[in-house]
Amino acid sequence: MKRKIEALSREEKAILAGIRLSVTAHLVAEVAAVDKDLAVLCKAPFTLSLAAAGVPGRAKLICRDGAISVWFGDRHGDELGASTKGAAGGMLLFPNARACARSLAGGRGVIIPLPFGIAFPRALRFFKAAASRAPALLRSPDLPPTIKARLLLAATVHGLSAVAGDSWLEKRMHHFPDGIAQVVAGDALFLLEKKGRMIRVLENEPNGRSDAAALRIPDAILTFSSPESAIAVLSGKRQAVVALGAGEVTIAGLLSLIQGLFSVLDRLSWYLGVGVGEDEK
Amino acid sequence: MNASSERFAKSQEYFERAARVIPGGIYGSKSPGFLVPGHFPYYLSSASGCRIKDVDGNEFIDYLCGYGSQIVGYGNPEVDRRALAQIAVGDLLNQPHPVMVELAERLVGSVSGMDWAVFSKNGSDMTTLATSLAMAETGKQIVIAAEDAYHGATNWCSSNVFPVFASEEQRNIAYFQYNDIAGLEALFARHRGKIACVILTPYHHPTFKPQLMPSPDFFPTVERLCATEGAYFIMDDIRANYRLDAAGSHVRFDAHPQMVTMGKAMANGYPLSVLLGTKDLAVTASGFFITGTYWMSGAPMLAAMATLDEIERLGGVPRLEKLGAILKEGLESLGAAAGFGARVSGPLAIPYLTFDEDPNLYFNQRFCAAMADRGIFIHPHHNWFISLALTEKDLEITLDAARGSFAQMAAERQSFRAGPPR
Ligand SMILES: Cc1ncc(COP(=O)(O)O)c(C=O)c1O
Repeated sequence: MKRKIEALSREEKAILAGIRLSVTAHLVAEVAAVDKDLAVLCKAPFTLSLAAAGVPGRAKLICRDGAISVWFGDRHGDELGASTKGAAGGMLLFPNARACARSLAGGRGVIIPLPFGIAFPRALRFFKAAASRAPALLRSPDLPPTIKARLLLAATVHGLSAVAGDSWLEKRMHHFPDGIAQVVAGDALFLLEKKGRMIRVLENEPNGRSDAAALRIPDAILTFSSPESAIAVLSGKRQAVVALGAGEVTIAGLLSLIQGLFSVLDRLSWYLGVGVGEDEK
Repeated sequence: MNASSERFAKSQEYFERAARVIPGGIYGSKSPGFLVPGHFPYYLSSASGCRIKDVDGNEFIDYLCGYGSQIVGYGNPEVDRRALAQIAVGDLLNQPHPVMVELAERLVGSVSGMDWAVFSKNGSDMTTLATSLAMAETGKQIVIAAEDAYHGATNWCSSNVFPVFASEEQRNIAYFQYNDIAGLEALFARHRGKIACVILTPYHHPTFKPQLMPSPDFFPTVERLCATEGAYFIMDDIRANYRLDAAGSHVRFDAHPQMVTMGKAMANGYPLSVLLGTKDLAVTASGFFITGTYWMSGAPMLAAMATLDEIERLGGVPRLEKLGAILKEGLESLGAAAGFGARVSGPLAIPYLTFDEDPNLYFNQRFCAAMADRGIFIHPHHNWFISLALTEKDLEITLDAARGSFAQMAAERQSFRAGPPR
C-alpha cells in the first residue's frame, strides 16, 4: 500500500528525509566526478551542509582539490574535513522533513539558505547545477552503462546506510549476522559493513581515510554480471530474484548477510515509494 | 547463454514466468538463491528411488529427499500401492478413514512415552498446536526455544521479522543457545512462573552452520527445570523422525518429553504430520478445536502405515547410518587429501558438510555447485538426508564425483575471488 508522507510517524519522516539527504549528497558527488560542466564548478574549494529541521541526519559536501567528498551522519557525529581556508560555504536548511523529502525527490519545497562564509555563492551554484544534473544524467540514454550502474549503486548503498537506523528495522538488523558485504557492478565496487543496527559504506570515505575493515576479505559478495543487469535491478525494472535466478546476479559467501541486506533494501524501497506531495514526484 | 544456463534453460524459463505471477517466483527455502543458481535446477519433474530429474532432463542422485520426507525412496512401490489404492476409492471423506485409528495405535505403541496422537498436514501445524496446548494447559505464555532452531513458518516461530509480529506473536518467545545450560537456567529464572513450555529439536540443525548434538547434561537439565517450573517439554522431531530412532529421536538421547511432533519422513512425502502427547495433556487436547479440511484424509495415513513397514523392511536406522557413515568418511577423507578441512556434522543419517577454514560457506557453495555439475544434489546451506533407496553403488558414484569436485576446488583455490576465507 502506497503511503503518504502525512501518514508517517515523526521518526519515519526523519528517516525518509535522512535518506533523501544522504542519497542526494552522494549522488551529486558521484555526478561531479563524471560531468565536465560540474567539474568546472568544483575548481575552488567549498563546503555545503544539507539539513532539515527536526531531522538528526545531515549531509555535508566538501569540495577540495576539484573533487567532492560527502559526510553523512547526525549532528553530533565527527564531521570531517573542510579546514581549507576560504572554503566555508554554508547550509541549505529545509524547514521540515516533509519539505526536505519533497524537494529532494524533485518536487517543490522551501529551502532556507544559511551562508557561513565566502564560498557560499559557489557552493550554491554547484549544488543547484548538480542537483538538477544528476536526475537528468540518470535519464539520459547517452550515459554509459558503467557510469549509470555506479551512480545507482552509490545511491542504493548510501540509502541502505541511511535507513538502517530505522527502529522498524531493529529486530531485523539483529536477526542477521554482522559482516562485510562487497557489491560489484562492472568496475564499481562498494563495501558495506553491517554491525549491530548500523550499515556503513566503507569505500569512498572522505579524506581518503582507509579503513582496516575495508581490507578484510568480505564475508559475502554480490556481483552483477554486467552494468546493464545492475541498472535493470537497481532501477526496479527487473526483480532481484529473477535476475538471481537468471544468473545476472550472483551471491556468494555468508548468504544470511546478503538476505538480511535485501530485507533492509525492501524497507528502503518502501521509503522511496512514499508519496511526498501534490506532484508526488 | 553460457553452458550452465543452457543446461537449465527450461528451469529458467519457468522461473521467469513464475516471477510474473508468483511473488518471488519460488518462495521460501526452495528459492533459487538458497542453492547456487546456474548449477542447480529450479523445477523438478520426476523422481525414482534416490534419483531426481529436472524439467531439462538432467538427473541427480539426491541427498535432500524432498527436505527429508522421502525416506524409503521416491515412488516407493509399496507406499504408493497402498496410498493410490485408497485414492482410487476416495481419499478425503466427510469422516475419517479407520486407518486413522490404526495409525494412532501404532504410533502410540511405538513412540516412547506417548499416549495419544492427533494428525494434520504440516510440521508447523503441529509445533503451533503443541505450544498452544502447553499454554492452555498451564495458563502461562512464555515459550522457550533455541536460537536458530526451525519450528515452522508460523508467525510465532518464523523468520518473518516485522515489528507487528514482534510486538504480538513473537513477544512471548524467549531464546537461548542450544546446549547452553547456564543460558537456559537464566531464562527460567527471569521468567519464573510464566513459562508454558520448552520446545527443542533432538539435536541442533541450524541452516548455514555445523550441526550440534545435545551435550549429555542438556536434556536432563531441561527436564529438571521444566519439572520445577511446571512447564512442558516438547520435542520437535519433525526433521529427524525415523532417522535417529524408530521409537522417536528422544530415545536416542534418553530424553522424556511430554509432547513429540513428527512429520516429513513419516509418510514418505504424502502430506501428514502428527502430534503425540502424554496422558496428562489428553483432556486439554480433547477440548481443543483441532481441525483442517484435509487433515483427516486417508491416503496419507495409509502411506504412513506402509512407510513404517518399508522402513523396517529396508533396514531402518542401522541401514541409514551405515550408508551415512560411508558418505561421511568418504567426504572427510577425500577433502583432507585435497587439502580441505571438510567436516560432516550431525547424525549419520542427516549429515551436513562444512569447511573448518570457511565459516562463510564460500567453499560449500563451490563444492555443492561442482557436485551438482557432476549430477549429485547436495545442499550448500541446509542439512542433507540419507534415503533407504540409496545403495553402496550410488555412494561410490557420489564419492567419485566428490573426488573430482575437491580436485577442481584445489586447482581453483588460488584464483578464488574471495581467497581462502579468514
Ligand atoms: C524441526 C522442524 N520443525 C518444524 C518444521 C516445519 O514443518 P513444515 O515445513 O512441514 O511446516 C520443520 C521443517 O523443516 C522442521 O525441520
